[in-house]
Amino acid sequence: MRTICVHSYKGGTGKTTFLLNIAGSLAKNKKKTLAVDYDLRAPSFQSYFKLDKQSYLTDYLLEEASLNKVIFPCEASTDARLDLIFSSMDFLKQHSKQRDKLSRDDAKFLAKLYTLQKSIDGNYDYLLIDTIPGFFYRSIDTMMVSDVIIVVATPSTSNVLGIQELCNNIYSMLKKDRKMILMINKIEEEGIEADKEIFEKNLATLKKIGKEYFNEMIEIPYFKILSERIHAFEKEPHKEFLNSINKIIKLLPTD
Amino acid sequence: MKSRNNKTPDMEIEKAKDYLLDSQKNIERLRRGKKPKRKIRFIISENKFFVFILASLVIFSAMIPLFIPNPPPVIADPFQNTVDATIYTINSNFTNDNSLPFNSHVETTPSSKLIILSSLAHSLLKQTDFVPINPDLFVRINYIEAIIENDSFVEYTNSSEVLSIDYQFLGIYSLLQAYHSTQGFEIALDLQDVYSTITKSLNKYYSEDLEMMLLPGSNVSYLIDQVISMFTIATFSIITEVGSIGELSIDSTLQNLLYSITENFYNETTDRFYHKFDLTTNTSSDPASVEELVFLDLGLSKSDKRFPYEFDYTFFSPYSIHQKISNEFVDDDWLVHNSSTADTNLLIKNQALFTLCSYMLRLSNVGDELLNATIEHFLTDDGFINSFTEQEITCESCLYGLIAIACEKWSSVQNIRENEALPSPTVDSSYPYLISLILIIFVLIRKRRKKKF
Repeated sequence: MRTICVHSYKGGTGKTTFLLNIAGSLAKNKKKTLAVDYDLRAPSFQSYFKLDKQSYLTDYLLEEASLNKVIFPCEASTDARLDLIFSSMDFLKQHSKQRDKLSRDDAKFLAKLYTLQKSIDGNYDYLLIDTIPGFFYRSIDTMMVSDVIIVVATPSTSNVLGIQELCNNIYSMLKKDRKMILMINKIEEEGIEADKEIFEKNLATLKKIGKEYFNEMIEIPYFKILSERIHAFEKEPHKEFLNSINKIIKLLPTD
Repeated sequence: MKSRNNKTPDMEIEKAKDYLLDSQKNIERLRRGKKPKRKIRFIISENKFFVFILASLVIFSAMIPLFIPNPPPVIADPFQNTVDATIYTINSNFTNDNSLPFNSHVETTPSSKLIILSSLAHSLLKQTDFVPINPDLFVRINYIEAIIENDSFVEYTNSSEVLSIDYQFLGIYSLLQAYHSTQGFEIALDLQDVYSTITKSLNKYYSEDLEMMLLPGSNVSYLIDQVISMFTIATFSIITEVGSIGELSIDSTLQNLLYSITENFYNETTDRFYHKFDLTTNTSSDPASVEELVFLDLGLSKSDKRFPYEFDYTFFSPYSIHQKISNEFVDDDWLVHNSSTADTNLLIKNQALFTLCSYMLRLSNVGDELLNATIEHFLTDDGFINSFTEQEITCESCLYGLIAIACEKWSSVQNIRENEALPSPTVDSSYPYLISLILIIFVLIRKRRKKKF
């Protein structure tokens, strides 16, 4: 089993969209896949899938539920081999003590994640983990257990500066034992569109960072109608986008 | 940890890097099947109850010595060797085949006075753990019973010869200590023996009309008889809690004895005590000895202890008598003289008795000095000498030496015993508590009433 986490410096980069579409494509290709919503601060799996049962990753991390109680099969496609673990935004809003516990520099949660990984090893071909953007203890946990770290970045100025900082301080320490992939999502944010010069400059900087710190780099063209859809499960998928996803999948190691 | 500004604060980065470094080590530990190293504060916060119990146990165990002090280390008494050497001298030089003491190589016949003194000294040694408990020790303590005939102390060599009044009561006191020394053993003495003997002596020697101790039909009374009887009767009454012996009320007997001493053996003008009182001429004569004043002191002290509210001192108290002895009989080297400080006939008996008296009055500083002087001036390698003039080691001098050594510990044992035997505090002493309780209830009732309105 290969473990892949998708990280970014800040939210809104398309991190979850890419992760779930990679997971969907892998599953559609008969690769048994488990996707985990570990973005505890802004979980969004529920925007893509309907969840009737109220059991979340936090229940497992806080030792209130066993692992098999929080894994749910994806019902969006009958022929795909995709399972999901959800997180709940409401749960952490309502339970401040649990939220505080989960935000500590406590190695207990690294151990829980490692146990999760070892428990499912053999049952899945891929474990995909959506992480909290930026410098968080829990996002470091997910990167620690991963074989591949996909970093999603947009060419905005703040993103470029943040990615540079992550590379200097975090990624540089991780890349020795892991495959690092920089995914440049050429999303044209408001304001950037008006200033093509800044866009190009930031893109150039990102590419430079990608060459310096990452094993692989891939540019994804900007597609306006991609959100909250798993294109591999669609009858009429966005073919160009799916092609991009497949390019990423080709970069992933296999057993 | 994370700032959403473009530039992440350095501290946040440092924290993230530290955690990453720790995580790299922890992931290696996990891969090796070990648990990760967690920060102690998280372990404590997850196990608050056990941490509380553990902390309580630690604090409690640290505080145990405050409540249950460790037993004091067993340290041999510095006088143990002296006691052993002196007892060896008594056993080898002054004890006959029947384990009875005789005084010297000249006086080889056991005497009842020496048996009384020997029993008393061995009781003191036994009660202070100076000597091991063995049959020989109990023989020496119990031989005092062998000299009681018809509830009176008699001469060992001639049972028809009754001992003097002072030795009757000193014998009773020794018998009382023998009773304490043999408690819990098969050969224990009966307190009834003490009661019978003291009853007989009181009936025989106490004159209710004259309010003093004297031989029946005699016209002369001696201070030593008054004071030793006073000391013995008061102590017996404390230990047994009896208020009367036969038809005699103890508190009035003790008070009358003191009135008689004040009237017949004491000159208020000169502040002097006298040795004897002639009833025919109604005059007192001969200055009182140290021994007499010591027993007067002890008699006053014990009478006051037994009847703290009823007993009236008249002109003197135990501490004034003690002061008087110190002023008139004790020199700068803490040696106790026989009659005045000019006297050179220093006796170990006086030294030992005043040491005993000082410790019993809880004047330990004086007791210590007197004991040091005894050790310095009367002790030899083989035992204690009797007096400065004779320089001879006798059984009597050795026994007084042993009493001097044992009396510090023993007076503490005896005082505790007496305090435990004394009647519990009367309602008078609980008045402060009762008043406090009433006040508290009163305040509480007032508070309640105020709240209601």
